[in-house]
Amino acid sequence: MNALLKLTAASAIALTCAGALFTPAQAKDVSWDDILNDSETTNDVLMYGMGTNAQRYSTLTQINAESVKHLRPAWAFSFGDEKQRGQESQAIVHDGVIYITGSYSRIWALDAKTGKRLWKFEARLPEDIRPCCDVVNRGAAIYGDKVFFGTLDASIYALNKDTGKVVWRKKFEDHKIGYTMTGAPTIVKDKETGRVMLIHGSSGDEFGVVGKLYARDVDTGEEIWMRPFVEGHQGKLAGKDSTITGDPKAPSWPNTPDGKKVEAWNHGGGAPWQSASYDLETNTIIVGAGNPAPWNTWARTPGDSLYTSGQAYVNPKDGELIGFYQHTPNDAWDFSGNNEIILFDYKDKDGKSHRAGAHADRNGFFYVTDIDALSKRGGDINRPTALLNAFPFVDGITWAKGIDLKTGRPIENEGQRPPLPEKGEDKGKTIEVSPPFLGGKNWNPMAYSKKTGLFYVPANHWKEDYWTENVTYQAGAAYLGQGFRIKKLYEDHIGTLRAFDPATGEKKWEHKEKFPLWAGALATAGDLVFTGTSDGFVKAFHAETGEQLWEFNTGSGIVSQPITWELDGKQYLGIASGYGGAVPLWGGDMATLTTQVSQGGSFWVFEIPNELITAAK
Amino acid sequence: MTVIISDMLPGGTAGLIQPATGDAATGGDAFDSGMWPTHRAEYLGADAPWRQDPAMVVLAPRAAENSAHVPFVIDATALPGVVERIVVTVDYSPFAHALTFHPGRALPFLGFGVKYEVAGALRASARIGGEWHVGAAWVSALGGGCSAPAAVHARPDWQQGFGQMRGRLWQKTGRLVVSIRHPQDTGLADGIPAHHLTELALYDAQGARIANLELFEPLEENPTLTFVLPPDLARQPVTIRSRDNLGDSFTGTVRPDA
Repeated sequence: MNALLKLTAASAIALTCAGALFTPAQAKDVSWDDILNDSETTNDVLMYGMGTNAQRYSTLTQINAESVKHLRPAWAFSFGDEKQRGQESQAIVHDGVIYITGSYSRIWALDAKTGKRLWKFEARLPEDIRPCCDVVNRGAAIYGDKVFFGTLDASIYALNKDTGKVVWRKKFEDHKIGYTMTGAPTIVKDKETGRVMLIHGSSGDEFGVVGKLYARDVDTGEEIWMRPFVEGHQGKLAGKDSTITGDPKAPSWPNTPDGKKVEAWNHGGGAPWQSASYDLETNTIIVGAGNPAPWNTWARTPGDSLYTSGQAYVNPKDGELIGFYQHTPNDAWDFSGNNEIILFDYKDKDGKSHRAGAHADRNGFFYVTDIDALSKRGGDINRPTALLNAFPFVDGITWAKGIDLKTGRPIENEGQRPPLPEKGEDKGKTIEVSPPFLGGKNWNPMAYSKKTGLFYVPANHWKEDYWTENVTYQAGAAYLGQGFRIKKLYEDHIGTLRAFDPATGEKKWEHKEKFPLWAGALATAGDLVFTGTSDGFVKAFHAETGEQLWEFNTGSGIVSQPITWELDGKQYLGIASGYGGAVPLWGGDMATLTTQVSQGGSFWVFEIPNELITAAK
Repeated sequence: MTVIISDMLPGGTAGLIQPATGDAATGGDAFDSGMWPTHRAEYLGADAPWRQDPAMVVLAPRAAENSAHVPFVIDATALPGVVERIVVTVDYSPFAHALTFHPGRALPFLGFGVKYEVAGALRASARIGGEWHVGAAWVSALGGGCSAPAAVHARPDWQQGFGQMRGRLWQKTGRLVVSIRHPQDTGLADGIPAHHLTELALYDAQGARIANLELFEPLEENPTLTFVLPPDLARQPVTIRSRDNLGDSFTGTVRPDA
């Protein structure tokens, strides 16, 4: 304090001069109430998932099943540079400004009306970053006067939302051993302490990182708590050691003959690399945990490899892991549990209402979980029976017959855990598995329509040749112990956009795509579902029938997330275009398709021309 | 007129380089030429009173050996009155504003290096009581210093040694030299985003600020800065704090020579 006072006194002139350089911004700050109401308000999009419930649903109806045929580009913005790689981002809209992130850790602020660039920020990345699945970024968070986004060198930046200048930066882990960040952070205000915090995880399961969820002070970036998702690892709170995750002895991970934990436990995986939802009623953060590391199941057998490949329920107050539902116990297929968890009011077959979470896993099954049961404080963390419903959402699942609704565990098929190499061999017998590790559905989020009560799942039909390899951990090297080759399941299509009734598991409609679907979905009260395709089209479908009503070619593949908002009485649709992501890198036989797509990097905004809106009235 | 650093040079006060002023300082052009009228309006204020002043000394080589490192000394110690700040602009740089120096309790004297994109004048404008005293030096350069990638990018990992600071403080003369390993990327080289220092400040042993700098793209890679401190400040440790546009921050403390 003394130092601060002296500093002010000694340099009054200098401070005055520095102050004159800044023009105070008059733009509106974002409050926690704004974020809580995000799913209801139409003039902004403040959260990844378009609301704390991640439903990706808008009540806007100006663009509807009738008028969508008139949809035209209003403007397009080029990300520029030579860094045209996968653009997986969802935009944020606030106060007439769009915040959109791009490949290689870049972010732009654009005037929502004209597309004029207001500022650009580009992180300077080290040469040795290790993103497994392209140099993507999925979006930003916004709160107060700042926007927040993660970068590929395992850093988080807070930028002034009006100037793009860095307010703080925190490097949370070592990028050289595989930590990276591609997901969008989210904002949560802890009900108990009243503290607003930035919630984020990391990526890096393929390099054997220990998956961790972090909460940070929004103003300073200081860590509030850190929660590892590998059982038996040490958590942190307020800069000190807090509790150990689960049982300190980590019985869900094997021991070596001398009583120590196996090597895999030290790495473990479980990284929460996608964005968290937040349940206000129980004050709980809900986030998917990644695959265990290594992929090789035998390095982790026996045991369920908690808390990986499932959905985690975390107390924002102290970062305690409250509850967990594991989709794939002892995951042998890199199914991960990261895919989004959408919070919704679920009415089961008997007409009973539940507050539920919906999750379409890479393993091919759609899960409806009981979020009240999973966020209840106390008791066992792992709660396999907190399951309300589960059904397959893709064809040809080989690894399990189904999910036992009583025990909450999968009914695995024999011979689907790839066998160990025979003595003297470096590679085990090849088996065929579907879905492959790229999943029945990957990260690209589904949407839930409050109007139709249906989930719109951007899914894929494919399979893989899969075999075990020997595995040893080496810092900064891939830690898999598996080999794979992705193949087609059907000749005519890979992508399939499907509408499901969560209570019956009934598929209401499907739309097939020749290319893999790697873009998120958006549902609106205008009876529409939007998504983008890997061959470059943004498309609109009838929410009830699946009939394709409109399409527009953006010139590169779309692997991003559409949003919609209203500005001055007009509804807009916005989506990033630019091909990339995991499929062109890991897609095996998909190469014949993916090499047909040109690179790009742009943000497109669509509207219905004024004269047509008037005419329609 | 005594130029402070001259005492330190071989040959004493005669100096190796003599400061030029007026037309001579700008390569024979009229002083009010080049981008100066524009930069003056932008960085000093459109109606701000200014005049060229031989007491605002700008020392530089006539020709730059290396366009990525063109050394300058600006010395406003001979100006009467308290120098509030010194604004340094480069006539033909893609980034005109190189730095602003707030001497505070240090002497209004600074040594630094800049990148030169095109030959031209560098101007130092010292503000005293609402009036600007301007000095300049014209440097012949092959150019390209701002658009070429930093030398460090020829190596496999630019992060190695990044942010390392070195410093020395000579009690006898009050000279303080600080260098920071930093690529100082301007954003003009292909595929390399802007990454440069934005501020640097000196603090005394009690934590009170001595002087500070606002820094911009033209400052050289791995910059070296020379300050001169009054005797009382040169007898105690000085802490240097700096920050760049990507939020990296750097801190170091230098103790006076015994």
